[in-house]
Amino acid sequence: MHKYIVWIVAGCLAGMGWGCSTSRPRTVAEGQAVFAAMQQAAAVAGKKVEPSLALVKISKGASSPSAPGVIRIGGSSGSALLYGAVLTARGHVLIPSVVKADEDNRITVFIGENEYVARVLKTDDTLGMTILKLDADENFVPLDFSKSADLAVGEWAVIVRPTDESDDFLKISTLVACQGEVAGRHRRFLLNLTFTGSSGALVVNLAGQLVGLLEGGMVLAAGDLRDDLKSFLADAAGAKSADDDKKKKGWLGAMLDPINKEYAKAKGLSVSSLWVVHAIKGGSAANAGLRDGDLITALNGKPLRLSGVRAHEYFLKSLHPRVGEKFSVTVLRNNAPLEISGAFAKPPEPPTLRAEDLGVAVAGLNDGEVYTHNLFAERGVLVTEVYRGSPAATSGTMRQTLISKGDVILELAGLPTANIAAFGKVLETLRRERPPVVLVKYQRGRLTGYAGLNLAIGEKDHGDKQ
Amino acid sequence: MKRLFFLLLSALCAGPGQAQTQDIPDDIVKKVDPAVVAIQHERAGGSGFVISRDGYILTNGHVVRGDDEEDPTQTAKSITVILNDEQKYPAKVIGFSMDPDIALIKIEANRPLQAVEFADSRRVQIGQRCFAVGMPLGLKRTFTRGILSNVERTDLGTETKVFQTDAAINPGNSGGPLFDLEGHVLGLNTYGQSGANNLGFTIPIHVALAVKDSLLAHGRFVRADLPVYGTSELYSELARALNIEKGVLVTAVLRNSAAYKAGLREGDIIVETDGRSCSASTHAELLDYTWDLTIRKPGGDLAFTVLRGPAASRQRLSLTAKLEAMEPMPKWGYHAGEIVENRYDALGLGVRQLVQMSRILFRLPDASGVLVSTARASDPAGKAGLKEYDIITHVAGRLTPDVPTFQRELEAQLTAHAKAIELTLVRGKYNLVTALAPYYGQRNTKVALLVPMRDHEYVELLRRELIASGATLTTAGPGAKLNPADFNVILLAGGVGGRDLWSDAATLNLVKEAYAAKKVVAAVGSSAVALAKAIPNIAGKKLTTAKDDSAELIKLKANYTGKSVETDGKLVTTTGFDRAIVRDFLKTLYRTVRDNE
Repeated sequence: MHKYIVWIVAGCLAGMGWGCSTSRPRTVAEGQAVFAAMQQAAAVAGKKVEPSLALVKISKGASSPSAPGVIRIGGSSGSALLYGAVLTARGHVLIPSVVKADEDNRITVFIGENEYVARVLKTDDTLGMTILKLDADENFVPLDFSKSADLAVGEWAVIVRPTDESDDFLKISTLVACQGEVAGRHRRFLLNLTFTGSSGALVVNLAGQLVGLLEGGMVLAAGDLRDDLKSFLADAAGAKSADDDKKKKGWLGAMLDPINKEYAKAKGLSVSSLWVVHAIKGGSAANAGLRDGDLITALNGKPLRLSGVRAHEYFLKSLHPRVGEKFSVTVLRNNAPLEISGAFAKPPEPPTLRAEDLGVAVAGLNDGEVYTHNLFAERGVLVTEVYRGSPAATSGTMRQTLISKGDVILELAGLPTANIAAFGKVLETLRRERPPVVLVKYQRGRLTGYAGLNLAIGEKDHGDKQ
Repeated sequence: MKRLFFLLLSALCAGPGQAQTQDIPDDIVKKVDPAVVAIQHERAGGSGFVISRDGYILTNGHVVRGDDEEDPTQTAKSITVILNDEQKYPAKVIGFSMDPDIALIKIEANRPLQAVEFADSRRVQIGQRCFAVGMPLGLKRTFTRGILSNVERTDLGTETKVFQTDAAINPGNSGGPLFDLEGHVLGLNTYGQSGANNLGFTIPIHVALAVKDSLLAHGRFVRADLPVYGTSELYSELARALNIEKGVLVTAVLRNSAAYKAGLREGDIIVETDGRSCSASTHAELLDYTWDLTIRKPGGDLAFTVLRGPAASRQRLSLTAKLEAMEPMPKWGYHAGEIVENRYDALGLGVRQLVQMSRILFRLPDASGVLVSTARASDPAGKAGLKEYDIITHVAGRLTPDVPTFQRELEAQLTAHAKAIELTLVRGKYNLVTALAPYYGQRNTKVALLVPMRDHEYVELLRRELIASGATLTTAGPGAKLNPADFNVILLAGGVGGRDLWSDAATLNLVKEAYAAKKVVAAVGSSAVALAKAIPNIAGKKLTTAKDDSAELIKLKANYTGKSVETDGKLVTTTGFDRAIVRDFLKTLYRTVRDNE
């Protein structure tokens, strides 16, 4: 298989404009000379990043049905084609998309003329990125993020992406111009052309310096990514697998809301601050001492940036919650600054129970669930699924179930079900005694309700979800 | 002889044959036809039927309702009833309800009208033959026939059970009668099922007549209730699980509610109401039970006998509760809502009174405040992050437990042109604080708003919007001594009472002087005639006014254009037909003020 990088200066340069003003009209010869110079500069510029370009192909296993969470490009073949960059000499490859680990997927990475098998090592939903590990002992050429450059408005750049001639992939590199900048935790440069399906392609300036990665039709600034990638890579390098990585994921346990800009200005507060609208009981934030109504102004010693939802996004992307790692926030409480430190804990995994006899799956209630779902019961078990055709689903009216998802079961057969253990205990008794009907008391919104379930109906082992 | 035989044969065939093929006998057609009417107004229309010789007509609430988002209690503005002989009469809405979907309207005909007779809709049977009369798709005097397919349909989410019929019910049949074969009204045809065949739904006439009585007495359907508890029928499994045969299960009682204070508790089983045994094993029976309470007179006592506790040791308790008039309904299901929105269009913000039913339906907390019902994203309310169903508890740090207090506190801030107005709100379980930053686009505009002494319209809207847009507002009645030099705009509010301004010397003089001083003068509805009377050389000037007063403008030789909003130089007028037009008028007024600067 032949692999190579092709640079084509595309687009009508005259149509795009030259990006500079002239005091006199150019002659045809002068124009041709400038055109040729730009072509040459573009071709040379791309050469520097060429060894670090990766073409990632994710193929679905033959036996596998469509698995959720896997990005697919290209329909009938059942394979996805992505672009990425080599991050380490040991074969870590970054792709700016979230690819979930799935053993039915076969991941192939093409670098230069070589083909490698790879696996998902770590994903970061907040960054929206994945790190793959190549199954190879070679020395790769990593992309150098330390010498990146920004794009000025009007400046030209080149989009570079690898192609695979044997598969008849298109061979396109494009000369583009920067039209602006979008603020954020990671800035994005707007381009004069629209790109779809090219996420992960690299962008360099005409001097050959790395500018960033193409993502969502814009250029994600490499300079802003540097720190996050460093810690992302450090985490990934220490992880043996995606599952292993998941175990290390920490949790702040606080619901935040960006301060309103006008309010902040009127009160002389930072427009980048975030309100702690609720510190979940048992969460890292609450354990550290954060309280409802605190106003976060800085994270780990650095003041927050931007405003509104982008300030929130900035905070989340800066957080990097890893179990056991420390964090500190500066808050305003009663108008006085306060430094609060803590360590990230593991997010809670509420116990769940599947009660096919009744036709429901339930989960334990915690403070986070109560706040997130605006529940009016603080004790009980939360109905997470109702199975079609089951006693819980079958009422006298079509399309209306006796028990609904989101209900909190307070009592079963007249006995309180304050938690999963209590619920399970009553369920065991029911299974032993096999009554024909059972009384369920539940909380739905602000009101309580009662249902009589006919245990003689419905599938016992499984059923489709409601 | 042979010829006589054929004549006899054809007579025998024709006579009985005609009678057999005419499903609705001719005398019945003649009896009911004059009592069924067509109803038309500026938006759409429907059917109805005369229930008294002096011109009371029943129809559906949705046939006569207006489309005022802010005030769902508004009716269509120009309702016309067309009798079967094509006589047309303007109609007045006595009252309407959206669930049950009933309206009572009245016409003043110059002769006694043919009224319908009523069947006993409690004694009906599935399979009973019936026929509908109405104007489906505008086709007047259309008869369709069928049977009662079901007589206790409860699956539609209506407050009462309804009849289902296979007689064709199409748009336009709404409000028309469903008759039995004797020509007695069984109910009002109300709902059709789109995408289905022969599925029509009819409100039983006994339900409609109960609502009619309330509409006649109060102008609206006043429901009785004991706040706040919920009930359920004892369907088979529930009855077995509770080990009880009969009764009505109390499923919820909100703590500290009137029901709670009366002694009701969750899990109680009501077995007697006012000394009579009660029971519901189906949803239809439960709706009948609750309907019987709903149509009682508020204020009356209600005696319950309830069973409480586990089956083995159930106590029998007697409780007495007082029925109350239900709070106005929020918009929900078939209810268009009965709560008026106080909207500040300039802020993109609308709030409504918070009622217990809203808290239950929308899972709202117990916080005391006003409910956000409009928060437009592109306006200050949206930019402040406000959302529908937020509860605003404080404005600028001051409590706003109700709409009048909210208005007072907000308008105090607006009048002071506060740059950022602090709002404290509750959203679900969260307490939030934000700030509203109004634009004050009319901060340099000084408006004198002259309000007729009686029957004025949209004054509150004008006042709210002018304040919210930053205008400095002086409100005065007729006869007020105002100096035109102090204002940019003289604005005459409308309504029938605006006619009093036509002869109010102080008003006419103020308008005349203001116009001479090149100020903007504006009027809503009838008051526009006062402008024409006050301004010299009005001939040819373009003006508009309420339709009933157009002749006055023409008499004064003004150029009456009939447009909803009209401008001519510094003159701005409107018909004031509805809220949307008054808002358009304000936008035009602001443009005129800007151009006049």
